[in-house]
Amino acid sequence: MMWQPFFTFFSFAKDCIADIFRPPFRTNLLFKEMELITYQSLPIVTLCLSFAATVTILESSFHMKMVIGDDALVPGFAAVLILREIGAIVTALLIVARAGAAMTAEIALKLITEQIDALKMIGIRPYQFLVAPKIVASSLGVAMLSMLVSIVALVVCGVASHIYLDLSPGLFLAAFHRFANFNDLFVSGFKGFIFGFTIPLICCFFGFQCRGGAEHVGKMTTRGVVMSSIVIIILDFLLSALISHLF
Amino acid sequence: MKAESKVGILFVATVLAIIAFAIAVGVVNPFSNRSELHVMYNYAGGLDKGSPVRVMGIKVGRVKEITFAPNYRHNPTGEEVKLKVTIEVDKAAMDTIREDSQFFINMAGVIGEKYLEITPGSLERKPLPPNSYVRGEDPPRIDQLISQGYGLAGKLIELVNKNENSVNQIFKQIDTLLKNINKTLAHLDKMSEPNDIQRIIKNTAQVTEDLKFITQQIRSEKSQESFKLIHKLLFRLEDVDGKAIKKFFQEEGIKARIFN
Amino acid sequence: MSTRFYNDDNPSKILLMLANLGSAVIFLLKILAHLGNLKLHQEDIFHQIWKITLHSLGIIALSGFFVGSIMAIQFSLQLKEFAALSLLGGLATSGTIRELGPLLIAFMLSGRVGAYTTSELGTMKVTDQIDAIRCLGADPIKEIIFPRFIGIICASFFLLIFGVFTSIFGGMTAAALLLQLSPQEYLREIPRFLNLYSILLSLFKVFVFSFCLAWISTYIGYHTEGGALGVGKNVVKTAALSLSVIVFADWVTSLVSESIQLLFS
Repeated sequence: MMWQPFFTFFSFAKDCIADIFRPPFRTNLLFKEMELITYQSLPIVTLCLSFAATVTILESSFHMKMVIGDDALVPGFAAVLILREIGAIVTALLIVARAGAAMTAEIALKLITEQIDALKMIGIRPYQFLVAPKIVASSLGVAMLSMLVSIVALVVCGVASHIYLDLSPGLFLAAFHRFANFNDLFVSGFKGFIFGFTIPLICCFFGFQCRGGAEHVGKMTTRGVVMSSIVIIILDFLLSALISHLF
Repeated sequence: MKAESKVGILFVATVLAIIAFAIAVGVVNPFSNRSELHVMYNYAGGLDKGSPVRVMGIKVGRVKEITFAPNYRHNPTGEEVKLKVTIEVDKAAMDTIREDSQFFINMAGVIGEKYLEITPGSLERKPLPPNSYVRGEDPPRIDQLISQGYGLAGKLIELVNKNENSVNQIFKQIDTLLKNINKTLAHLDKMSEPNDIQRIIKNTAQVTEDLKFITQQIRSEKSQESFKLIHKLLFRLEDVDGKAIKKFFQEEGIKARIFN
Repeated sequence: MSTRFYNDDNPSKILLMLANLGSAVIFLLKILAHLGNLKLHQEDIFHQIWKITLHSLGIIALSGFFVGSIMAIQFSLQLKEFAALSLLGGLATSGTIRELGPLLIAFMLSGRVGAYTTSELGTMKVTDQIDAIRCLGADPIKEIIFPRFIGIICASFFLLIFGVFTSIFGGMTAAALLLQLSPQEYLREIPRFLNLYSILLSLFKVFVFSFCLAWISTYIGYHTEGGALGVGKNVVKTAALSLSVIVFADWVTSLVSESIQLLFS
């Protein structure tokens, strides 16, 4: 009985993923979703990640000074942290808050106002029409956004270390070279892909669970956001452990 | 603007950013103004692919790859060198690297990242052509040094252990010698009264002073002249009968004695 | 939202934002006006604190555990370079307390508590319950909003402590499982890295974050309009806005703390 929700979720996920590969492929919907996820979230994600980058530099320099007493290597550490961890997680959590909640609310409302039944009557599969484009758009979009914004955040790191730590850009690049690899960027992109894949699945699942009126919509939206956040953190832990073992 | 174009713009921006990142990290280098060199080592402790290469301390490139070359013999000496380190060096620095440049593996800073250091060659030798094979200087193996140090320490201990008896004896003899010297000095001290010694020393000092006076007088001019006169006299007296002179002097001698 | 713009006003976006900001500040002042009679609302506030804490305990525990492990893994990679792996416990804990602890609590709370508060208040507004309370002569801000506001701020302190402990535990587990570091080694270096200042800093951060969260979620929830659709929309708005404001506040507090620390040391 306790596992019932998991079973429901997995059957839902199975149907959605199967629907991705079923024609007709609605590319215009795909692009619309992608635009929503990436283009509209771009300013907020960039801003937040820049702030997070600056804070990372500040905190890393504090800790470095405590441990070694020299903060010339701070950009290196901070860059690796950003590329591997912070970039992916902050982007994913922000997308959850922005796009994921919107997905849940949209589907919940459509369910309440019986638009889903209308779709079924016309002969369109609701999962394929609503969920599948979101999944594809989200995986690709979050991966792309994650990589792009990570790089922007690194530039901001350079500026921040120049202002707060008095490190010239040359020193920043030198420290950066020592610690960061090109592969770390792909780690961020890969994590973004996985996170982007799970966000619509979970959020739309909760959207489809909505039964009652306005109150339930709110409740389901909340639950969708919360569940996605937790799953993202757990996945991040698993992926980090995996990646640090492999590389 | 349609949704597709927006997504397209974002995608292009991402790709450009990735390329910029790749250049910044150094993976791709479109400004390929580098040439390669192959440095051969028998031990390259800690050098990795991507480690920096420095000439006179300035970074000019990086290690491109490290491969095994089990069948390689270095040209002039025929030495078997088994490790091939291929490095990329900026063309601007290639001119400084000559045939007598040395290729060391050093440790940078406290944390100990290894890099390949190239000393500049002298102007008399020719610059190295690209893709040539050179023999690098193997860095010292700390572990070998330590094991040798252990060996040496062991041998020293063995030596001391084996010759423990003779060493002990030597020490005993030195001890006895020192004791004897001590006794002798003590005796001397007791034996000679200080007064006698002082008197003797005084007299000796006086005698030597008188001697000094006499020899000074002898050395003075007048004495020299007298000696010369006497010498002349004797010379003239040589013709005279020797015996008569002897007799004369004997009588004179008696007279002198009578006079005294 | 609560400011009425008539149809021919055509406000520009900036004007709209400023108007909303202004009404939000007025809203906040109204709430804070009730700080004087805390004793009156004791029961309500305790009830709210209890409810929020219970509600979020599970999620904080889980996410704290995993974030602790992630921090441990990440820092271990850096420390291995310096062969100073024994410092892992202290470093990871210090990082969590100063940085990730407040941030994580705030993120999780913005999801669980913030969105929940907005949806609850929004539903109340949309189903006219708030107007009903006003009709009965009570002040909705006093009865409903204020206890929730204070409750969120207080509960977040407890949740911070709990979250920090779970993340230490998570880091310890990860170190033991993946890095072969015994729990004693992990815990041993922690006192070396902790000073009073870090703890004060994290408490201050949690206060700032939960303050912003409470403010945003109650304001947006209270001013929902448009039925179920409006509720859904506003929950989204809360979630997104609170996250970005929290990140911004994180930056500002870090800057402020740096300068204060320079003053002290």
